[in-house]
Amino acid sequence: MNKTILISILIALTFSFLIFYTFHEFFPPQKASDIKDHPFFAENKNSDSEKILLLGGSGAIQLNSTMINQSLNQDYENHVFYNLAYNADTPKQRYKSINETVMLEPKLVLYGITYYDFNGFIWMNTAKNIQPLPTIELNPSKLFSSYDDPFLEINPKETTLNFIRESLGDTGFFPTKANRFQLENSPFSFFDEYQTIIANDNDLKKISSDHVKNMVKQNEIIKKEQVGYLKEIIRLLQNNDTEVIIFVFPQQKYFLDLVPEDDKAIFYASLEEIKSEFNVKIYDLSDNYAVLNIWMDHNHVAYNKKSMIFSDDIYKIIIKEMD
Amino acid sequence: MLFNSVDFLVFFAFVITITVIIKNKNFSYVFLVAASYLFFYFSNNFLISLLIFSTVLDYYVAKEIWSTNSKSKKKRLLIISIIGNLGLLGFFKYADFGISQFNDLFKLIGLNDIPLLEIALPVGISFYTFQTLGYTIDVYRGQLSPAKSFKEFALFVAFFPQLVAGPILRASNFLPQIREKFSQLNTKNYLKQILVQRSNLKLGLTLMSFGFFKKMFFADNIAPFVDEIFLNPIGLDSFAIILGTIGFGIQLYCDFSGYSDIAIGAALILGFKVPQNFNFPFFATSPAEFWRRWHISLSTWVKDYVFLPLAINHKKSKLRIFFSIFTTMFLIGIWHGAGWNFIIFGIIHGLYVGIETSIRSIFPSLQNNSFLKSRFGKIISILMTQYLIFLSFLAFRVHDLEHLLYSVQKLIFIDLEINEIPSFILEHKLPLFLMILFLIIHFISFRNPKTLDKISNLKLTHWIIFLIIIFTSIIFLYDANPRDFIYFRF
Repeated sequence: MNKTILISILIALTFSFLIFYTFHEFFPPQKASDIKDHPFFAENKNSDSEKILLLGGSGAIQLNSTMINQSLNQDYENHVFYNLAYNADTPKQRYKSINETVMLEPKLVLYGITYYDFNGFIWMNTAKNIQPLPTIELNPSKLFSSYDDPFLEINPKETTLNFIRESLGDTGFFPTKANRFQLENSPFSFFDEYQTIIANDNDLKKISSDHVKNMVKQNEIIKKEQVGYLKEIIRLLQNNDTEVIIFVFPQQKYFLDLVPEDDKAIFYASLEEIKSEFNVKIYDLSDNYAVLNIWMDHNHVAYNKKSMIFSDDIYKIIIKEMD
Repeated sequence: MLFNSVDFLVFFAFVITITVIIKNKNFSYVFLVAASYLFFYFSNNFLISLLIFSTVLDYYVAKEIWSTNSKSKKKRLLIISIIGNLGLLGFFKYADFGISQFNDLFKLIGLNDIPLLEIALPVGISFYTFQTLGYTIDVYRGQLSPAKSFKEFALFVAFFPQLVAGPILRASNFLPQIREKFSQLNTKNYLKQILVQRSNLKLGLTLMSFGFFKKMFFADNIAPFVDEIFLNPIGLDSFAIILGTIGFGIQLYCDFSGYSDIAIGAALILGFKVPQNFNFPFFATSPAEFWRRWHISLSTWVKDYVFLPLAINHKKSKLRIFFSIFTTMFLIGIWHGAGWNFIIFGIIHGLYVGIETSIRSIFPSLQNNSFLKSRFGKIISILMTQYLIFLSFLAFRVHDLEHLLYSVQKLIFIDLEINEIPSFILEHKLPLFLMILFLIIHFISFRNPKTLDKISNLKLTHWIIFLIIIFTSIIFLYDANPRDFIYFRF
């Protein structure tokens, strides 16, 4: 009789997973990073303009791409600037759409990078119980995956909520966020009102060192994989006569103060390795605005008139490279 | 090793399989002890040495206490056990908090800081040290004979389903169960050994499913809403703070009682009865009753080993009784962790229960008050009690003093800002829906206390449908970012 009960459990589990996977097959969620099939690529593939592209994560979304593009048009005819950044970009994620990016035949590509891009956002999944002694190598979960990359896994909650949102989208039950807007030359990113607000110093002071440590931790395996993808992206672009430059995203002072020296050293050693292997220029903006009052949070400059210095500097870098 | 992880499911399936296949008492005994240590090793790494230390210390101390006739020697041995266990707990749990308080004082007089030890909190230390300490005190009091073998005691301390977050086992309840199953008597009674029995298996699996449902469906999906509210509550209106507080209460309950359900279910499958840890605490009609329904294994432990010894000889002194209650509740508060918020939590509950007990002793007629006994009176009592309890939960959740004071103020002096309510509800549909669903299910379960038994006695096909509903609900709202159980941190 115990066998019957155990078989019942297996049937229930199998059936439940089957229901979910069938559902997931029919209604796969669209992620911000799923840009491969975005119409932007098809629309701009055959345009005659010389394209300057900016790739990267949320740190680059805050750039004023309209201003950069207008300034560029004034100095260089027939040139256009696109900010192709999207939230939670990593080199591994970006690599999925690299063919489409190469097909645009850009003249110059700027890739913005920072510490957490090299740990694949694994910090979001880091367990809180950190032990001082060596961790056990024999871990059954390793039988199932090499590490917990959230972008590799299906997130059932995301699938479910996306389905509900899309199904009820027209009912007014899921209204579009008020004041959300998109810049013309930033096809993969939106702005909400909170991204335009500069945080006050008291709020910025509230930052935990554990949070920063987790966020910037340069895990050897993950870092190696992400750097490998970044190298592959650079190689593919350079093979197509595209000039590539890398810039390090700016960060706020309280965050930078808590970045462990070891992780900093590993991060910059990786950049040096890329620089020497591919002869790419690296612009380090990490502490350029650290003490300025322009921050939305510790890692993102606010999209605000007072924060134009970031966009100005990116524009200057582009001009310098063009000249 | 989290219960809500593939690791645990693989581990548990392995333990059950081996137990079912190899029906040798000696092997099962050693295997269960070894499996428990392995489980703990996965959760705690080399800090397993602390568990072994605690086990060895109390095994030998209790044996010595039992064998000696000298009262003073018994007392000395008991003090060794208390110092050993509480010293371990104090060092690993409270040392850094103590140092940081001294550093704050030193700053005032211009002295240099003492560097923090930055010790990781060993998972489950608050549970197993209380378990071993309770055992030694019982032996000291002559209420319990010591464990018959080290193996027996080791299994009592390390029994894996309840090891890292309780319920706190009592030796008087658990040692007889071990003896019944592993004694060498030739009873020919199959019940008296580790056997996975049909009724236990079905009830245990149903209970575990409920536990997973509470944790993964409710707690994990309400948690982001609570985090969002209390990350920085300054500026939020009362409505948001009230919902955040209720959300946290539900999250905490589902998280912890979910763990307890999984633990009790897993133990039951192996044939062990672990006592109930929760009994519908949100239907308590007074703070004292709340503690008879919430984390029952801890509240009965402190009642037996702290409150009664403090109060037993002073039954007539109201002040002494108040002091004993206050001390007991204060200890419950700091048992949860090293921080001012837990101290505040303990003080609040000390005052709640102390004042309630004082009022009851001053006005004994309240016991038979017809209004309080009426349905309406009970509803009012429940609502008032829960308001006070949820108010105290703020201290548990909000660690920043400025944020805490703001949240408490918004919960006491409720503003009537209603303009933002519709948009707030629209933006938080899922967690609010889950909170309402939880309250409905909780109410139905409260009205039908035999729900669990009824479900586990369903016809097999109906039981499978029930499981499919539970599992599918969990899977569809499973966030691929598992959160650990809140009570692991204690």
